[in-house]
Amino acid sequence: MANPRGTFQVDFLRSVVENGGRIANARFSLQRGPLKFVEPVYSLTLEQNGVRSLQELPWTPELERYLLFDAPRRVDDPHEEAERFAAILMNNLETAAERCGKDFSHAVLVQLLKERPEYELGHVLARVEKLTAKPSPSSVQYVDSLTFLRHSIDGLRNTAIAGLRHTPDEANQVMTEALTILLDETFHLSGSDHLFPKHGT
Amino acid sequence: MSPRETRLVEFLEARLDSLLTRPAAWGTGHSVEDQLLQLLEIRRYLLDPSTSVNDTYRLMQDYTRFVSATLADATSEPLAIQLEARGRSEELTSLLRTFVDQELAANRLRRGLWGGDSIDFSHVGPA
Repeated sequence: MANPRGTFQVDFLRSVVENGGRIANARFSLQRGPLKFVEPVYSLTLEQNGVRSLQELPWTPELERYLLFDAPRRVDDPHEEAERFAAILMNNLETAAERCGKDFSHAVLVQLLKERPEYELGHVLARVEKLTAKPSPSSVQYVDSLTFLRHSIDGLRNTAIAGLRHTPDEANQVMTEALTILLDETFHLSGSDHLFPKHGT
Repeated sequence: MSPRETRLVEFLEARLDSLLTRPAAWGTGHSVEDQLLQLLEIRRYLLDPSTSVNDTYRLMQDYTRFVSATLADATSEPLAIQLEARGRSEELTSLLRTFVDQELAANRLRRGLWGGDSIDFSHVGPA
């Protein structure tokens, strides 16, 4: 179902571009912090008729689709681009969780990422693997979840290269950082470290 | 939702589950029915930003529709009393569970901003 806020955001950006304006700068933050939910937000500097204005737009799927596919725009800072990609992946993981259950979809994600050595996630995966069961690969839900998550991860990387004009190396770096954030937020790793610090390590 | 609100919703859902799993521990059928409806009202109030303090009747409207669809010649009396009058008191818990399940599915707890409206990449070809 279309989110009215997202539709308004896209209509607004379209009207800026149609009137000769442009996005001069794009920034993004997940606004992460210990023991809090993320609150992703775009900060876009818009330029129209020589005048610049800063717009803070909360992340919505509609806005993201516009900035990925309709008017592709990368975020200026690669670390912020990684946070943006993490937001996209967190959103899609939530969809998988709604379809097949949270624990199951998280376990499928871990299985999928174990087969992706191009993303350097070994240290994080070793930690989260202990927190997930091994899902049965013969179930319909497994195939559905795996396909959906694979499309999400591979499709995002391919969009980064083809649409956002990252080089393949840049895309892999941004994806690695984004997937690290995704795993950290999904399995509450930083929150857990914050609550239960391990002394002497 | 704030983490505190989320915790409150989780508490409500745990209490709903307890009421349905061990109804006898929570009182008579009528009492259990009342408690369930109040918990569901609070839960819906927390989850649905369009609900105001004065229009929580929507849950009762849904419940009345459910009872009418479940019982022939249903009245406005509590379901527990209507079932008792028909000698069907043993069906109360399973009927209440059906309604609670419907309500939980219709108004799901969404954590943070994510509402399941995914970004579709299935049309994206190889780079």
